[in-house]
Amino acid sequence: MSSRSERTRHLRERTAKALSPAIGGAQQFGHRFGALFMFLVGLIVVPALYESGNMNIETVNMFGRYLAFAMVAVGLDLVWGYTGILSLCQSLFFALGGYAMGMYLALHGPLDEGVPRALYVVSSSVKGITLPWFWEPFRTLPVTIGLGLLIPGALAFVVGYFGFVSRVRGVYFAILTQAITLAAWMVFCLNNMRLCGTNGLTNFVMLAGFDLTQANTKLGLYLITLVTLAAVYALCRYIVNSRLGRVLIAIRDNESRLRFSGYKPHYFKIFAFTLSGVLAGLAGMLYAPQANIITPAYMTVERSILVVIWVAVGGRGTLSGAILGALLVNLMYNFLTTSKPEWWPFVQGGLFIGVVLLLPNGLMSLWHGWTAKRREPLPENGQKSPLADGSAERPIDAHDIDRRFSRIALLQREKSVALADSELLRVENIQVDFDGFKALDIDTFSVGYYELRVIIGPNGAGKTTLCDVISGKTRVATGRVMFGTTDITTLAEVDIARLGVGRKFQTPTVFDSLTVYENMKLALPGWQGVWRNLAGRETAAECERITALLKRVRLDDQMQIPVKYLSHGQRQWLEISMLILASPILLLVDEPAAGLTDQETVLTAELLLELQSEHSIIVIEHDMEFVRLLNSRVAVLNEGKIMADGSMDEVQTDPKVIEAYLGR
Amino acid sequence: MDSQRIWPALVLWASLTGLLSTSALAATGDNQIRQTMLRLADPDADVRVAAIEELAGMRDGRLAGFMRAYQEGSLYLWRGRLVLCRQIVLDKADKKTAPLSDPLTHQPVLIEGAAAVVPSTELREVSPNTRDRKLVSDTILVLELWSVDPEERLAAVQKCGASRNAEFLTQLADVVRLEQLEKVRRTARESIALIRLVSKVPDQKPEDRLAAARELADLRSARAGPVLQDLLKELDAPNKDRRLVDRTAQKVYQQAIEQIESYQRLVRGFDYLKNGISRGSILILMALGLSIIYGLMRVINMAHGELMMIGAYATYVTQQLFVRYLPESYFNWYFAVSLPVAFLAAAMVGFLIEFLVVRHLYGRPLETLLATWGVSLVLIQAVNRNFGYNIGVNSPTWLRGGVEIFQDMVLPVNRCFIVVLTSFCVLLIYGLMRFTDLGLRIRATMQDREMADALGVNTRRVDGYTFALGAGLAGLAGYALTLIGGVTPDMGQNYIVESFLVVVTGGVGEFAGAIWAGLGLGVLNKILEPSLGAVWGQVLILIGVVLFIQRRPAGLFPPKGRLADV
Repeated sequence: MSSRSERTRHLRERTAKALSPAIGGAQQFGHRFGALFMFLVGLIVVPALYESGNMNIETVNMFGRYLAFAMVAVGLDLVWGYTGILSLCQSLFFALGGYAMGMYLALHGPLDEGVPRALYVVSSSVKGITLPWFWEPFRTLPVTIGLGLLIPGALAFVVGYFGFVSRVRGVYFAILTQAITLAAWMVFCLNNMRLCGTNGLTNFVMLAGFDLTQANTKLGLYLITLVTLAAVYALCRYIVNSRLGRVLIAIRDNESRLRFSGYKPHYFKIFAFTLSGVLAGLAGMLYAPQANIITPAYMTVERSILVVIWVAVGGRGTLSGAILGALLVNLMYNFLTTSKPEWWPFVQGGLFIGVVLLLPNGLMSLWHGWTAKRREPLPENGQKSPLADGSAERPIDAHDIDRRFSRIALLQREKSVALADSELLRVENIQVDFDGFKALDIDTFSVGYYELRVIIGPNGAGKTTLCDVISGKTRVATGRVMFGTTDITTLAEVDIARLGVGRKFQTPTVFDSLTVYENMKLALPGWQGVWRNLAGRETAAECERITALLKRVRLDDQMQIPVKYLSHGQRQWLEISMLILASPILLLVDEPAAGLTDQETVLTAELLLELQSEHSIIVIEHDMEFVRLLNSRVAVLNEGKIMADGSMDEVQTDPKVIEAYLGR
Repeated sequence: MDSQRIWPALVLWASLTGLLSTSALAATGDNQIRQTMLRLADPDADVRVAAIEELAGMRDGRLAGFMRAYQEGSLYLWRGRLVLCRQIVLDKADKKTAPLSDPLTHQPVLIEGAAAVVPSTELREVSPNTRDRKLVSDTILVLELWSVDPEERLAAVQKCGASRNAEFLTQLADVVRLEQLEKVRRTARESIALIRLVSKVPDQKPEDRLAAARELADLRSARAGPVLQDLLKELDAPNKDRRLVDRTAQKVYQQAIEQIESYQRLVRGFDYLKNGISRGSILILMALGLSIIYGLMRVINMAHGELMMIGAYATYVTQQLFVRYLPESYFNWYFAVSLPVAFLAAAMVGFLIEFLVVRHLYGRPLETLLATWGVSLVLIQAVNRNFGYNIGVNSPTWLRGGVEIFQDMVLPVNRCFIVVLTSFCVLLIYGLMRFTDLGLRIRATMQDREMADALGVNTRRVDGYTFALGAGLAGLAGYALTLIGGVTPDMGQNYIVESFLVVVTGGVGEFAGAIWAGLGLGVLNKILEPSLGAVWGQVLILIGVVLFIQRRPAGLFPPKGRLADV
């Protein structure tokens, strides 16, 4: 076992690299190299093949179109792969961009008295069509490009705003976007919308003075698409590598934890969703002139799901996988529809099922697995690493425990001095009603500055509900909650968290795919805005604070390991450390000792007592030994009411309490 | 209320007239009729006209058919008697021959015990000349007024009204006097009033015209609406001579239009409700299955629409088997047989989907969405290849037609059947979930899978059964849909989004929610459709649901409590 530390370090590096979408240095290099290689192939080899006569222009054009699809896929990967939002709107955004460009092209194509000829195909009246007002802006290219980005972006923003602010999530959001796409498709199919109905816009001739039928124009469009895709890829790569990328993953892992850490997740979601909309619009604008047609068929729900499948085939949460998937699936489609068209639905359906069942992390996972296998087999996804059984945790010897007990005794004595008279938190006359069941009914309950309060009570007494009320997760029917001089009764969780109320949940809530260090970084105060996360880096002082705190809770060895490999106790401490790092005024700690060993319990008690000199703390606990160690004022909750309030000894001798709780 | 009187009366009337016309009259009356009929072949035009008019007065139910044959030119003179020959056919020697039948009874004419087929040269065509054609078609109409078939009588009465021909007035008055069916009597009164309203009737005073308008208003005549509108428009045009009468006429017409309109609004409302409820019923069947599956496994089954399609195709296949292997008289039974067939076929496919795909994706809802979408693509294409695109399922005769519960408010039998089927299924599922062991297991697994596992519930098996049950319900939805919609491989796609909306609006796993949302969306759809058009109505509903999800992300009846995930 001499190589344990070496092994640990080794594993740490690799798990950080291969298992989390948060990509480490070496792999980042691999990604960059691969992406750069592919870019150069596209930039040099394809035109060279064409110029030398080994590839006809239609193939180049086809690649150009598929690269545009890849751009949509990259946008979706940002939303679905990283943030965990399944959007079925992507095809709509794509088609909106396509239609913007299509209208410009139609206005510069064959006209009859100023009206694009395509409009006459679907119109019953042979003459006298006037162009509706919304055609007007698309006469010039710059405005068209601007609108082609703005319209999908604005739609994404609106959908995202209404969806995410009211916390529509997961499957519900997917269905909501599906409904929007369906509605838009129906509208675009109408002939009297003057957008050429199901026939769509076609007959494009000139783009900014270039003849679209010329081979050179097609090659140029291909190159523009390639370069744009490279730029989009670089932008998205930058985003996912920034702090913002970590926040997006954190949203996927545990949105509610993020909210209690003072983030407003919906801002980040709106940002990602809007960006994906803009990217899809951009792709649509590049696609339309290359395909020479844009129809409502491009904005069906089916197309949206197809985009999802591209990303799934390539591997979600990898960006490069999205490009790979889009190209591969489309090439396969191209091959099959020319040889055996009736088999395409079977292949497509099989692909959907097969990829999801057999290759859940897509083709990129094969690549990752292959590069990793050359060194050492990986722990199975979802299983715990050898670290998790606690063997790597430093043992606590008896001497250490004795030292800690004496320190606890010291801290207990100090505490009585720290007690202040003024109230930090005051709960008045609150009632909480769950469908007629009165979960909470408290006349008054208060916590002073730098006071450590303990709440005990049998199961279902309303302890956690009280925490929920204070932190804003549950709304009261009557009464109010005062925090300092602020009434926080109706404030949102985020705002309460930002005022300085930190919450630790009964079961530890941390971001599983991120490393311990990244978890801590997200908990840093003052980093909760979108733009700051996009552009900024933590200061050296902040990093030092994190390291120091992790050392204190003995997690410094596990700093670079994804949290999903930590043991229960380590997760508890990680969550507490994240709380402390955010330096809240009031700490709500829900069952910190649950599931801990005796030694760990003692450590936790010591930690809480130490913290008391800087914070007010409310602790909810079942473990009587633990409560005795804290030696603080105890409130007993029973059936939603405060039954007794006083020191541990007073409470323990209260006959009512004995009957309801301790006497059992 | 009327329906109770209509049916027995109808049966009685049909049998009575049938009996009278065939047996009792046959001996004495038929001879006289045949005499008159023969006069149609008379060279003298006046004799022919007199004969036609005499036949028109006879009011024999069979004569309408005879006159139609006369009009079509299928009537011939053969050896001094009138015969009917629908079609001249070529015999083996390529000669034109004519199979003959009796013009009155439509029985084949017999020569020495065998059906008579004679060379066409022996026949002389008997048909009305151009001058008599109008008279003949009027006569057909008049004779149809006394037809055996109540539908035909009703149609004839309506046609008389539409013709605006004052000559029908006496006949119609007789109908009002003699007709047994209330509905036909009422329509006859309506037709009379319509004729009086617009035609030049001899010795009619202007007041009679107004009285006719009032009568139509009292009858809530839907047909009179446009006619009155036209009259009103005519009055508005400057007209010197009748300025004084105009005022009152205008007022009367306007009142009548209003009265009719307000009733028609009621009728339209009834139609929306009825169509909406039946559509909603299908949505409920779909949504129940989806909702149960989602509630249990957190799986969005995108292939649910295709399970419905399978139910519809199972119904189709059963029908085809009946047509091919069983005598025609058994045809109506196919629909009863295909009920379990549709359920089982869809349930089996559902079970397979669960076993082969969904089972392996537990805990990954978004991935299941993709995989089941893949399944749906495969199913659509497989059915498309094997059964073709647009196929017909014929409703059994006992589900055709409808009951008129109030004037103009018809309750179609097939839609009632759908509602009854859905209610039955809902009750059955409720009972299953509430009172059976399987239901208890399903509910336990829904609430806490691990705990149910720990208590010895085989949650995997529960999953399989539940998925099959939900799929079977979708199959029943498809079965029901064959009654009111077309059957195509991609029919499920039209319903799947709306079913999702029902599930989402109702709240996932909520029984009452699914029912209310299903009915609500179904009815809303039908209300919006006529005024906004199908597309904008649908769009409006979609936007409405989007806003609804936005307002209440957890549906109509959101769960409360500590476990509620806000």
